[in-house]
Amino acid sequence: METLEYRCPNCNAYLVFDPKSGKMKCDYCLSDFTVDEVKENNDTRGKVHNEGHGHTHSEEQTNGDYFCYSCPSCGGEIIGDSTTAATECPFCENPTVITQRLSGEFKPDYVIPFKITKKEAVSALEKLYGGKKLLPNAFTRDNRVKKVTGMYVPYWICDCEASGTVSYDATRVHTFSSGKYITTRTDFFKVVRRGTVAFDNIPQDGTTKLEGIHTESIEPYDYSEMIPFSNEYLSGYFADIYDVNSEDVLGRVAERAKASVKESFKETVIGYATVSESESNIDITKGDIHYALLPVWMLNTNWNGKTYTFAMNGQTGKVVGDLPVDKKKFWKRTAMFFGIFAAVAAVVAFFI
Amino acid sequence: MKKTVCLISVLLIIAFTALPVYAAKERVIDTADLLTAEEEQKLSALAGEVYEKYGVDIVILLEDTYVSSPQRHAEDYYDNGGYADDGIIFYLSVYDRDWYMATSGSCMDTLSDSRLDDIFEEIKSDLAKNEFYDALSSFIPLCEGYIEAGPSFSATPVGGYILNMCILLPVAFVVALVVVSLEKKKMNTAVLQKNANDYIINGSVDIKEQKDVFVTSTVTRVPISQGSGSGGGGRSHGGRGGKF
Ligand SMILES: [Zn+2]
Ligand SMILES: [Zn+2]
Repeated sequence: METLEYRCPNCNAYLVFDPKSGKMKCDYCLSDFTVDEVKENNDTRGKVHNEGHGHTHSEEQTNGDYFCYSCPSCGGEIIGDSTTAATECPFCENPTVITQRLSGEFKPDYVIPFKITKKEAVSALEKLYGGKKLLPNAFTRDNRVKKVTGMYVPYWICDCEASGTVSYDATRVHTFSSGKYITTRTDFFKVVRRGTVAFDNIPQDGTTKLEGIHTESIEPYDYSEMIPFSNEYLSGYFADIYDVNSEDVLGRVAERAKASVKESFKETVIGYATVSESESNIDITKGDIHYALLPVWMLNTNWNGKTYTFAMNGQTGKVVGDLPVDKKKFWKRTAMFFGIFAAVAAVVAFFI
Repeated sequence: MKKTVCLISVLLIIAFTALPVYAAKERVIDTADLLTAEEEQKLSALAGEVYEKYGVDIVILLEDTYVSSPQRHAEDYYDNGGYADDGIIFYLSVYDRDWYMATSGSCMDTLSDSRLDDIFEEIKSDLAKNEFYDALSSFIPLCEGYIEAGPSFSATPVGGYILNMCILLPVAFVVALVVVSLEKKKMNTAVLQKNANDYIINGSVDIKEQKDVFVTSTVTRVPISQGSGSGGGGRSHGGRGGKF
């Protein structure tokens, strides 16, 4: 397994990508280098480690479901699964990029580097927990917030063009009074809109490790900061390669594009009292599909057999989370509010 | 000096001419001759006192003729009689033993329909025995009591209070449940995107064909409703009525 690590030319400590400065930074001597400097300088360029046959062998033994190799720094065993592309040594936190996983068809076209720091992610998570009166007390024990991890998530970024026809039943209502009567005339119209809409960069995650509902919740990303992929940005973070093919996300992409087409067309149906869609026929033609790694801060917590996910857009800071509800607290709070409202009712009833 | 005397005398003349107009406002009209002159005078005095205190006209109209709508008749009589905006008219007809109480202005609140029911309950037995003076001499103080009490604070009987609570407590529970359910909803903020609007290329929405074709029309005609029956300037009334 071919892996890569970046070392500081001054003190030989690890260089990790720093979201604030956008540079590679040494946490020990605080030197920093631009990504281009790191790429071009022989001293800082990633040290390639090529593990011997023994480990390739062990990988074969497990049908490539996971891999393990010994940490070049402390010798501890690092284990990753079949999609791990960047990780850290669980013992010495040595950041490692598994370059072999990022080659060929798995080499991403683009990356959006992290802009949100771990500190910011932790405080966002604390804010999410804070003031949640229904959260079980034990859920936030163990200070798990510190375990929030920076993850480059594989995405398919899809261009497409939609073309189609949408029909609507619409009405106009005129009301006027004549003599002793109010007359209401309702005019019925058949409305048709035919046209095209073009879409750029609809993102859809290409991993089974995250639910679509979470990755869609933290959209959108700002693509103006998307740059050609380079290994350096992964140093200090976790990264996965895709395990869902681009073809398998196109259905969802088309679904969303169609909804947008309907909305755009409906905006042009104006001057009616009521408008309801009667029929639609929309074709989606797929365009370019790019493979990109996008930054997400995330934390999965298992609680009573269910996994609760916190996810935060690593570029924009948009947060999504699901949290467990303490049933006892739910009913206690309901009883408390009932008490308050009942007291109000007791006063109100006196006056009506 | 002459001017001041002049002014005072003019004011006095106005005051004296205004007084008879004011006194002429009849509040007890007994065309059916159900009351003695003395009784009429006593009731008028009672009603006059109420007017002095609250600016509210209590009008009693006793008749012995057929009317198609006691409500309409009572309301029109009040509206056209030049009475105050706030008031009540109690119409009694011995022809077919109809009664109707119509309220106007603030009396629609102070003498709510349920209070009118209570008032009628009090005088029902007197009316049944044709003891009109007894009934009417308690009618006026009963009205006055409610007018004095004001609209919101009522001497709601305890039975009414319990009834109110029977309705309000379940409402309070439902509201509490809704509040906490909303808190519960906030525990999960994950939602799928509804569309791809963020990714539409600017200006790429190209409508190539627009058709808006008229299909058919329907026409419905509703008679203009007649308000709540007041012939005059569309004043609104509250009220209660029935047979006695
Ligand atoms: Zn250093
Ligand atoms: Zn290590």
